[in-house]
Amino acid sequence: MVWLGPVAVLVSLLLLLRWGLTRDVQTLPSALVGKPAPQFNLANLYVPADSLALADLEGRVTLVNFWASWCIPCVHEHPVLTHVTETWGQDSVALVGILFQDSPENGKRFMEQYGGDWPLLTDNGSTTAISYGMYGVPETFFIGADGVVARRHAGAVTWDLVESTVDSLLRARRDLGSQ
Amino acid sequence: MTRRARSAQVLLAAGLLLAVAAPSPGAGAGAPAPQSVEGAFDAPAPADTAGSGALAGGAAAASALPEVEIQETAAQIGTRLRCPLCRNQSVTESPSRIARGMQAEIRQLLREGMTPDEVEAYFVDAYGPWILLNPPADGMGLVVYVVPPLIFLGGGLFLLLRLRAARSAA
Repeated sequence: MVWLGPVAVLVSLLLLLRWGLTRDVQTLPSALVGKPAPQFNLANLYVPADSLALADLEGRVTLVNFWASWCIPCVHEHPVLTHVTETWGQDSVALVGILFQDSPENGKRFMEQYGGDWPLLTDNGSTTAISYGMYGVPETFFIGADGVVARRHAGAVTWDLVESTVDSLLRARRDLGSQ
Repeated sequence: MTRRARSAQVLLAAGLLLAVAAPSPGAGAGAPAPQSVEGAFDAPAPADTAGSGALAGGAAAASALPEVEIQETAAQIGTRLRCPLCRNQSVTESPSRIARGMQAEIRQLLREGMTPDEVEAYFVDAYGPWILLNPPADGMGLVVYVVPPLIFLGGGLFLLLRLRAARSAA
């Protein structure tokens, strides 16, 4: 009976470790969820003299997607992102790609190969990525029309995830507009 | 049970307790893994001149600190922040691009007039308390500081009682 205590401690620790191993990085919440999205003003990938600020997209549901040409999951999610621009107009749902730790030349080559037409920005020094608490590409932040981060998804997005999240944010946008 | 067997049992229990009671506030059991490792391509190196996202659009107060002090303070802050793509490595220690970018961002924030505490708070706002190598001693973070000593003390008490029982049995 005297061993009961240490055995209980050991079992508790093993259960804790088991719980830790089952945690999924993709479901880890971002510290930004529920907070206003960090502002940025970044240069266009193709025309560096042009820039786009998050403030320019105010009132729209915005998807901020961090990507890189060397990232294999980015290739996998690319058709989903292309479908986003085909499904919703940029005036209601804005998709913005931010190149993460990659050269503009590689980014342009990637887009030539896989296609797609949405604003692509460069993030010199990864300052915007850091302000978004980025871990690795791809990561997508869903921002509501109110400018608040509603969801962070680490890894390649799926269409089901995008559709359900954007639909709920569009509903919230309509409610916001009707008030 | 023989005296030797009892002693072996006690030693085994002591080893087990020492193993589980070793405090490791820096350990990142819940550390998220990166989705994709950083590319080996010719990515632009983080530049100190890059504008900070923290004070974008706001009036940035210039720091009165000399550049040498900014470098030293940034390196110190970097030792307290976790490299997000590494396993239990600080921003200062890590050679990864994201860590170098974070180091450049720390220097930039210091130049803009932030205090070291404000710089740390900036990273905590973006990443959560997980970004700190030593979690704050409140909330769930308190567990890291309280549980190991409790286990250690409990183990010591257990050993003491076992040794006394073994002696009296002998």
